[in-house]
Amino acid sequence: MFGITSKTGQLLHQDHLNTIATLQKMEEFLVKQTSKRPPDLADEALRRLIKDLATGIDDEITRHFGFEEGHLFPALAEAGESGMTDFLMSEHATIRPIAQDIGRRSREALEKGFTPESWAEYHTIGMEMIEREVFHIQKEEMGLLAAVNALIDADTDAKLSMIFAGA
Amino acid sequence: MFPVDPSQNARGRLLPPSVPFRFFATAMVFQIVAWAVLAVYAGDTVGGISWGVLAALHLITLGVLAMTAIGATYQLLPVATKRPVRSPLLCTLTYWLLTPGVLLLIGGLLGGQGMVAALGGALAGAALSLYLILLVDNLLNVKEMPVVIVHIWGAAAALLATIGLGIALALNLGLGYLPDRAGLLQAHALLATYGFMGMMSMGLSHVLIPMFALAPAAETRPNLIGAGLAMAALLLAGLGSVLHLDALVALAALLGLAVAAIYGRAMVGIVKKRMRKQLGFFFTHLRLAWILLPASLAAGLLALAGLLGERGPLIFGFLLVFGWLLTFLTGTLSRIMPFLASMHTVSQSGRTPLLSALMAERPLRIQFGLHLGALLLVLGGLAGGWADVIRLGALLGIGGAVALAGYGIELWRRCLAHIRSA
Repeated sequence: MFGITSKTGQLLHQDHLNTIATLQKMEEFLVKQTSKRPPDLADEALRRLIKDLATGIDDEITRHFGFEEGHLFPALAEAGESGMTDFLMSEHATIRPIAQDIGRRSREALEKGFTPESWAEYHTIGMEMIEREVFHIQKEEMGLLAAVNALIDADTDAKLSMIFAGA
Repeated sequence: MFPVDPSQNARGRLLPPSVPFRFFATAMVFQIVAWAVLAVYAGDTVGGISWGVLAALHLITLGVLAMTAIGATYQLLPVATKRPVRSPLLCTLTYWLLTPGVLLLIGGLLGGQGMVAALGGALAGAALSLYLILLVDNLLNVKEMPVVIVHIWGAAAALLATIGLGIALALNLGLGYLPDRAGLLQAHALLATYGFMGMMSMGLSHVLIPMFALAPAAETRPNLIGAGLAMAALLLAGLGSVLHLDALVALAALLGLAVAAIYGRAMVGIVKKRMRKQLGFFFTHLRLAWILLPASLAAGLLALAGLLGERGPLIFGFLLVFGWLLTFLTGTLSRIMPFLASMHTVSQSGRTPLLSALMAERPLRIQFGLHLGALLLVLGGLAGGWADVIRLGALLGIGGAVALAGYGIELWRRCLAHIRSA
């Protein structure tokens, strides 16, 4: 990713950093735990990790995706960049139900714990969500933030960054 | 200058997959052929540079490196510059000039048919000229990403000189009008490898490595200085070669080592600051390539001083072309193919595939092991003057190239399976 000159780009980038940090921790845990061994949810650190994942991913698909789809992508489309935003929207549409599913399963697990079956499913869906979301962020960091730098003027940038900060 | 092709993919700067992938697939086939030619002509290498060796080198430089670089930049550069390529049809035309050009050039070199080689060289020159025009057209007025853009401008300038010298040398094969071609050959070789391919590889590294590692880009100022030094080194290398001034070529190699240090520092910095902890197996290729770049320059200096014996220039050329550039391009190709394929592969329910589901790591691991073995054996064989060791190395190289093709075929199969899935 290159020098991010726009305020909106910087805020989106910070969001990406936070999301990646949570996803990295979750990925390391899932790989170490394997799909065959349900974890013990009496472990406070693990409960916090699952809670952080559920909260973080919920924030990503509502606030972050919502801002992009409702404000940023239309502004970029107006500036002539609709090809990339259409593609990123289609990725949002793929990620959103998987993220909602993992959020629901996380909350259920925090209440009831995992069975071997529910853990195996959680592991599979969790790994898929992490991979899709990381790949999506890679594309946004390379293409979207560069497009924001290049195509969004200072006034629009100021307006968009205020909307995003207040979202 | 060019008509904008209305058939361009609705996703704007994403070209139809047939455009980049025809280059990638052909490059994988040519790599197998290149190692096979080296295996057949291994005996000739002991005596120095021969037609067979020249054919193997051009199969890699034109058939694999340029072929991959053209396919990759046609697709990736417009994404980075935010300017669509003028016409996918002209991109495809580049392919249809380059591929027969390589085949004729290689056939002419191996068959001792000067006119056939000259025709092949001219066709390849036409392909590269068309590519150069499209490349420059895409770079004009781009002000973002100065490090990347300056490197690619350097690559474009080196390509212009490479094409001019290459066509002159190829035509000389048929017409024999050059009284002294040794200096021109050396200039052509250095500008094509360190110039066009090297500057392009370094420039694209500044886009691709931060993206794959999810890391901030390297600092602008030192890397712009690095690009400037690289261009100065290329100028010195070209002049030194043409004027037969070894001191200038040696100075160019020393500057090149400084460039390699700046570039290496930038790459290590990016990897250290990465957000993505798991980098993937292709980074093994890249790490090896980052070591082989300064190794090739050091070998060049030693060869220039006559410290590597009569096969010194071959050892240097092999480290540079089969070592640094081929290793780097192979690693990059193994990552950008699934990356691009995933963007074109949608199931019936509208889902794109997981990257991990497209990438078959086993063939890639096999490829790397065989490629490393091939490099070590051929280098050892060249150093000792043992043709059988060189041939064995080349056979391992064939195995590695076949494994890479297997990786590509498996990627293709998995994409088709995903498209057919619900």
